[in-house]
Amino acid sequence: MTAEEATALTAKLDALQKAHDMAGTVNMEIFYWWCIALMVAIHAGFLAYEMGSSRTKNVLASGVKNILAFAFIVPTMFLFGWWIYGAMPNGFIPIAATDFAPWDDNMGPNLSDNATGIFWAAFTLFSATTASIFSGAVLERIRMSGFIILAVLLGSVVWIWAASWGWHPDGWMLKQLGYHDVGAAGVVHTIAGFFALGVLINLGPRVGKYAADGSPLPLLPHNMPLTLVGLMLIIVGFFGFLGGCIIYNNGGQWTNIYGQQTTLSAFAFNTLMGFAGGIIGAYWKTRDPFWMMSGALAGIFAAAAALDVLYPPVAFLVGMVGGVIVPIAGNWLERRGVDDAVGAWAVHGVGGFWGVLVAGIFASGYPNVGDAPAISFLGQLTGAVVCAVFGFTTGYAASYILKMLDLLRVPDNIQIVGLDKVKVPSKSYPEFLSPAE
Amino acid sequence: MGSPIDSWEGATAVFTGAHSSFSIGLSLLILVVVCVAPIVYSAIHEKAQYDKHS
Repeated sequence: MTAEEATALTAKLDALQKAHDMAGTVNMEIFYWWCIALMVAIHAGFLAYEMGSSRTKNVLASGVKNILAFAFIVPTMFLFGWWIYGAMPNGFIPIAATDFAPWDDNMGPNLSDNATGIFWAAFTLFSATTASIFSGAVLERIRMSGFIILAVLLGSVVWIWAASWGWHPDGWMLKQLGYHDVGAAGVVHTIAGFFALGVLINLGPRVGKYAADGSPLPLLPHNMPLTLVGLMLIIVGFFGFLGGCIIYNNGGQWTNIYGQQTTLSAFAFNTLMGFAGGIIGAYWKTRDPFWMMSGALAGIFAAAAALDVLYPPVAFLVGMVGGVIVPIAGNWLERRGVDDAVGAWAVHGVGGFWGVLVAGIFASGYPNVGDAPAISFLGQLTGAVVCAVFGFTTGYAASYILKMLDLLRVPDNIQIVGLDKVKVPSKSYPEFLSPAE
Repeated sequence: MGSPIDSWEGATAVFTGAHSSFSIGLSLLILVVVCVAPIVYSAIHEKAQYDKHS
């Protein structure tokens, strides 16, 4: 080979390498783009779920509330939520995170950065999911202004703060506890469920939910089939959500959020097995389609934290346990006088907590990368408690302040009239139904 | 605002107002205001509607 031929070959190899790298970069963007699109289905699902679970007189108000939660999360994640993720891995003292600030060159169209926008968008959809989880719990009696403030607090501050502890490569929960939560059972679901619980205590039940002796009365969903379809749409969206929890490495194996090698196949095995176990567990316990579909979610959350390493039959079994415990938890809370309209605390709070513990039981001893300790039951239990306490205290404190400012609860006489009639300029079913008092 | 670049060759940040701290700061400030204003409006509207139906 002559020197000229060698030079030409080298140039060709360089060009091929660049083309290969750019193809990988674009593939990465495409993968997350479609994960984001699928995650929007979570919100279509929550919209249907919430509206179906409302009584006719509150259907559109519930829809408006859900839509606004999504809308307000997007700009607030841009303004400060993304920065919190980058800045707070040590706890409460921020570290330098200029790459995450909204004025950084990467926070907008930038031809040298194919990653920031797509990851910001994926995290924003995670954020919107937490707000939607909370939204269902408080339907039919929360004031819109107070709701938006709480949704932004949860979606663009609280969960993303906890994600910085439990997901960030330098997060203290990873570094000190070996915390393992690849599918966000703790940092999304436990946080959101317990935040909702904190708010529900200050918000109080819907008018008519409890008899004079304190026993719960049924306030039935006006459209259970719509609720069930909504729940199934949420499941569809969770395939995008869990896809967004895995890291695409150009030219290398997938890794989870902690840098441990994994595969989409692992996620596929265990997501489906947890899903099916959750349905069957809830069917065995209740035979109620509402709890069966809620059990499907709980089954996925049960497997979520250790989605990368569970043996699929184990994922099925822990999902089944999730499907059994969630209706028990929901009914227990209802009997304690807390009106969680869609069982958000039970499904997400308790289901997510169980999922984090599952990783401690079945993934204990798996090594972490770098200097983080191995996964352990104590580390997982501590992480789950941190998520629950952080979610509950922030939700309780913020809703208490809003209650003092009279920005939390819709007056009882307005609840009796119905929120749609009072606040929404359009009608849900103008030709067919009259709202029940 | 306008274009922050003269050529696509070697361009990096290409969004409106890139490299201008005034432009970016003004955009962010407006974004904050138009996010807060609807919440305030919502609180006022709710109060008025509740009074009207009480």
